[in-house]
Amino acid sequence: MSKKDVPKNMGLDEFLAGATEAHQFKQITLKIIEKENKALSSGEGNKRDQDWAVLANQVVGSENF
Amino acid sequence: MVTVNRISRLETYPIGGLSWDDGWAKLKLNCSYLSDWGIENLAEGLRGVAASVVYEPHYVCKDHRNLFSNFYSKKFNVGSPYTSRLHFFSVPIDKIEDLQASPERFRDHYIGYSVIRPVKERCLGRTVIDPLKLQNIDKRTFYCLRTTFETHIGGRRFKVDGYPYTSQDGDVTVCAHSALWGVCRYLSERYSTYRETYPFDLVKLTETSSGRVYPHRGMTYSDYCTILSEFGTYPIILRLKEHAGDARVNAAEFNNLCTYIESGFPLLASYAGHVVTIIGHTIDYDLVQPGFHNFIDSSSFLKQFVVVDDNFFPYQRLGHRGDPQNYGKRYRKRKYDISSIVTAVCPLPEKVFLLADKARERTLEYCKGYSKMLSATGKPPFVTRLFLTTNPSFKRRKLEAASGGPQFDFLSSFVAQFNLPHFIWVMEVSPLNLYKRGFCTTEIVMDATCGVLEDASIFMRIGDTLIIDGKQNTVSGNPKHFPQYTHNLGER
Repeated sequence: MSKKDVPKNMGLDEFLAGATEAHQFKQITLKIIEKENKALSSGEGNKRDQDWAVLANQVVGSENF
Repeated sequence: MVTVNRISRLETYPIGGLSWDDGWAKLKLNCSYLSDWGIENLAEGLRGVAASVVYEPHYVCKDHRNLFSNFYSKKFNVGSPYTSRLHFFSVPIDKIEDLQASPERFRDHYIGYSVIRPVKERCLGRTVIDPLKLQNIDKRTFYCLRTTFETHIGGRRFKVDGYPYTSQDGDVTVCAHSALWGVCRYLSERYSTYRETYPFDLVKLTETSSGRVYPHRGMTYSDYCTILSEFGTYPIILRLKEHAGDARVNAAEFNNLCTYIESGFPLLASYAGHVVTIIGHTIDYDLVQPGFHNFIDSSSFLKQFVVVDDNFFPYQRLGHRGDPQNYGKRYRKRKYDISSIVTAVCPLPEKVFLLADKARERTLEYCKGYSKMLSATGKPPFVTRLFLTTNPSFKRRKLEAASGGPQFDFLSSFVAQFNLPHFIWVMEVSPLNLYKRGFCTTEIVMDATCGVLEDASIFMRIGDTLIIDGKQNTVSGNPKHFPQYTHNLGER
């Protein structure tokens, strides 16, 4: 599209009709999901549970000036 | 027996300029609930801006009455179920009749109010002060949560935008109750989803398995989570330090804390033994100089946190060690600064399933993958700013941005057409020079309601290119930078 053609109104279908495949974006997305899969199976996601086990009964606030 | 005058006239006291000390002294003579501690704190915060006080002798405060009914009334010395209220104005008011006859003359000069409770020393009850009307606030770099509270003075309606504050009474409530009450009242006043909560509700919800909950017992994280969950939020705990004595702060968790603050949530921060609420921040653009970094998190510009600490006037600034404005050094026993924060609790909404750490990891992957295209939008370093917002707010800002510049920004208006989830993560990326001017060149928008194994990406815009639905298109002639999404803390 040229400068003078910058649209005021255009629907998604129209926008996508002139678009190209975003291969790089798709690859990054796949990489992210793979990484999450690995993290889930390696138990990395347990950090919050471990933190909670330590913190649950700690007193957070009782101080006077 | 408690008696109350049925005829209880409002009175006005001048406290501007030379009448400052005299005005407070006269007020104290009539307002018997106002302690020296109360005067000291109010005077510290209001010095230089308040010119008159309107004194409302008998005020029925719903928060005090709630504590009175459930606790004070059970004591031999019951105190009073009534409170007084002070309203502060930045202009002189000669007579109450002037205020009643022409309230519009005074509305812009209304600074806020403070309920004065009949308790020992810590007399400041519900207090709402507009921080932007105080001295020593640089509006260009001060970002703080505010919401509108309505009051009536002698039959006239006034409004104040601020964050609710109360001191602890040291009898039934401690710092944790004061901080939690502030969070709950802020949320219930701002969003109709949350019901109004009173101080004794918080006491009642405190876990009894560790013994009696009042007078004066500290709260645990379990208590916090129970209370905030009952209230209707879904709290998460950020652990900035493994142990309270650790000198090092977990940098990733600190970034998460900053992200939640940037997203407009009040955070309950624990200094190990004492709790305050972080409600905003100040920034200093000179803290980061162009160097060899490629990506810089926006938290690197953090100068101070704006906190509400029940021991001081609201809107204190918690700075780094050595910061002359750091209020934490005023503590007698132990000095506090930003590195004193051990943990923080964030009251998230239910539907935020993708948390800040995951959203940051993912958005940064896209930034790194597209670093070549990013370089075409400006010189590194690039500042990344991650925040959570809602679909309607985001679209409203995008539409404002689309037509707010010298040239129509089609892409900003185009993304406002999309069907978005209620909560979204947005990462804005700007070359440092543009960031300082309030612009960005790139934004990545993610679905905050996504699970960890799902594709959360919605779209990415780099300059005049938009990537959506696995496809990309460039709109030549479209502006390549756009305004940052600011004021999401409600400070303007």
